[in-house]
Amino acid sequence: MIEFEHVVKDYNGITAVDDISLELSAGKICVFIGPSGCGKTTSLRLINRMIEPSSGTIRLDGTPVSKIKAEQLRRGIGYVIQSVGLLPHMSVRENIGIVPRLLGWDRNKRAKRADELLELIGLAPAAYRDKLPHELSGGEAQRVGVARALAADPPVLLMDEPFGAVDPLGREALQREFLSLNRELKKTVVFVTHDLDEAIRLGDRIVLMRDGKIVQDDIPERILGTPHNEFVREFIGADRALKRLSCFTVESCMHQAAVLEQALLEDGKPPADLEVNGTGTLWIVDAGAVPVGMCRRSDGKWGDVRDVRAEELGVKTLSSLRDALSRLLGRGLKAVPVLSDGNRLVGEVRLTDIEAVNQSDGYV
Amino acid sequence: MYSLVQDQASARERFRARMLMGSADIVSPVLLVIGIGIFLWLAANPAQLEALLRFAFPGRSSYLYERASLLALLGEHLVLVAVSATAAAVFGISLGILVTRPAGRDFLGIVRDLSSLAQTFPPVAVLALAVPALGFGFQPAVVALFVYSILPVINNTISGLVAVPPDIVEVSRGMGMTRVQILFRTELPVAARVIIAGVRTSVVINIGTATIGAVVGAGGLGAVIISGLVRDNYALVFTGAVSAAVLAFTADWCFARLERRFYSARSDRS
Ligand SMILES: Nc1ncnc2c1ncn2[C@@H]1O[C@H](COP(=O)(O)OP(=O)(O)O)[C@@H](O)[C@H]1O
Ligand SMILES: [Mg+2]
Repeated sequence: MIEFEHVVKDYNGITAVDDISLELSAGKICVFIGPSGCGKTTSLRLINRMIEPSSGTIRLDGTPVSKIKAEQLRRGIGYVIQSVGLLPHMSVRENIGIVPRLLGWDRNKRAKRADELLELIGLAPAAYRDKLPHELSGGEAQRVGVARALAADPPVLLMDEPFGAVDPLGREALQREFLSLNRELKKTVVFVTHDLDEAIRLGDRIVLMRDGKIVQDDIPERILGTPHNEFVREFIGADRALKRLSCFTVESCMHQAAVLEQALLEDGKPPADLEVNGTGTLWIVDAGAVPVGMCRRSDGKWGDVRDVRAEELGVKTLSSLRDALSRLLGRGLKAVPVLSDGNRLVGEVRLTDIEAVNQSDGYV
Repeated sequence: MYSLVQDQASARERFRARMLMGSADIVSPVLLVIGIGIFLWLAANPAQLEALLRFAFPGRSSYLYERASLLALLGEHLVLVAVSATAAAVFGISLGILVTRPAGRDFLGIVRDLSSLAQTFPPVAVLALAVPALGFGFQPAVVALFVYSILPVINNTISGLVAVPPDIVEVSRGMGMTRVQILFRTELPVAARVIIAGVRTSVVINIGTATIGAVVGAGGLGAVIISGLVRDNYALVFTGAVSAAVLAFTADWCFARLERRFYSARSDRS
């Protein structure tokens, strides 16, 4: 757990952080957001003593960080910055091994750990461990940056706009991966961004800042649903209903889907006496449970089977309802399939689910 | 006010660097070894050397320097260069590191300007100034060579260290490196290639300039050249000049190889 107690940081007259008190709970992702220059980076860097506060105390699991030797403190906290900062003369493996080496791990242990982490972030160790940073794409470099921060398994991760330099598509992929990674690892993450969509997608909690002060500190749904003041409302923008859909994962409100294996089609049609509930959509799957077609039942009769491409139509379990809505509207469908890794069908999300979520908070 | 001077100095250095890289890198190790072999064989066999020179410069009264063998002169030359260039590299790199630390930053500007300015002095002038100050012999020549060849080392050490991207240093600190670790694990390795290029320039200039050391009685290959000039004997001038050139070329070739082992910022941008 990280606590800020009346923390102030002055830069000759400019108050970058102005009397902040906060408690960040362990194992959660807390996002600092706000306009440029509001003090997000400064707040983050106070935690690992990259800078010292002018007054106030920051505690890590109850111990004031000022009582811990700066280098020792930093070796126990993962740190990721926007430009990644992979050391250009070191291979991917050596980069990941930097903190373990500082901690005195031997070469074998470091190499093993690097391979483990590459596996974890989805880069094949054999292909990537000996690459130099300039041989990586932007997204790969960011992944390696995250792996490097995780190398010594620190309980806390500080991330300053870590995905800011990646193109929007790549960024979404990185966000999704990071979210599922941290579900497993349960690190205490402090994440700085100026991208509200990113904050909503990742944050268990959002701290909105302005001029060094906290304006609103809440869970994402409430930041969007009940903004404290005009500044928050303006910061969120007019499309907050839509943004709010980003707070919910597909997983949290999907339904069981009606499924028929391809082999059981009769003359290319489902059995006439097969009844389905819900939206009347039947998903045709192959032997690996991957959707290959769909069929609608209306007036007690089956329509034609339409071919579908799973990866184009489906959403992932950790996708947001906003993604789901855009697929639904884009295809003019009543439901879209929800896929696990490997595109196996695990459920469906319906237009009515999204309407229900939107009405649940009493505003439109 | 020094900007013009700096521009000239850096333009000159770039030109020199291009000339040198163009020459040294294209020679294969086999060719180099054969060349050095022939050269050393001639140096060790005065009779053959004399025959060759007689063929190239017919009708001279003498072809060989009488007071010392070519090998001995080569040895003297190497000692002169090794001592002064090593001292220059050690001192230059240390000074470059010092003025790029937070505590030494105040001196960065002045050290940089001074070394850029001093580099525009011709080496002969430096040596000429050293004579009245230090007298004759080996020591003053070493000191003068040291002073002159320290400049490219300082310049390149500073340029190399200043060019290390700040985010890399930031992240090194953020991962828990101490200052010394940041210097040795991050800054110096990233700057190494530029620093070695500085040492390379320094050594090559040093080898050439050391021939002028003979003027102050330091011996070396310059003795042959000067003796030839005094006696109007171009066979001797030729022998000394070619020997110094072989030495310079070999040193340059070795440093070019060494440089390539280190990280280069240029390959990053490809
Ligand atoms: N080293 C510094 N010296 C002086 N002012 C600084 C320094 N670092 C940050 N500031 C100022 O502090 C304020 C907050 O900066 P920062 O925390 O970087 O903002 P953010 O990350 O939210 O964009 C800004 O007004 C910035 O100009
Ligand atoms: Mg910032």
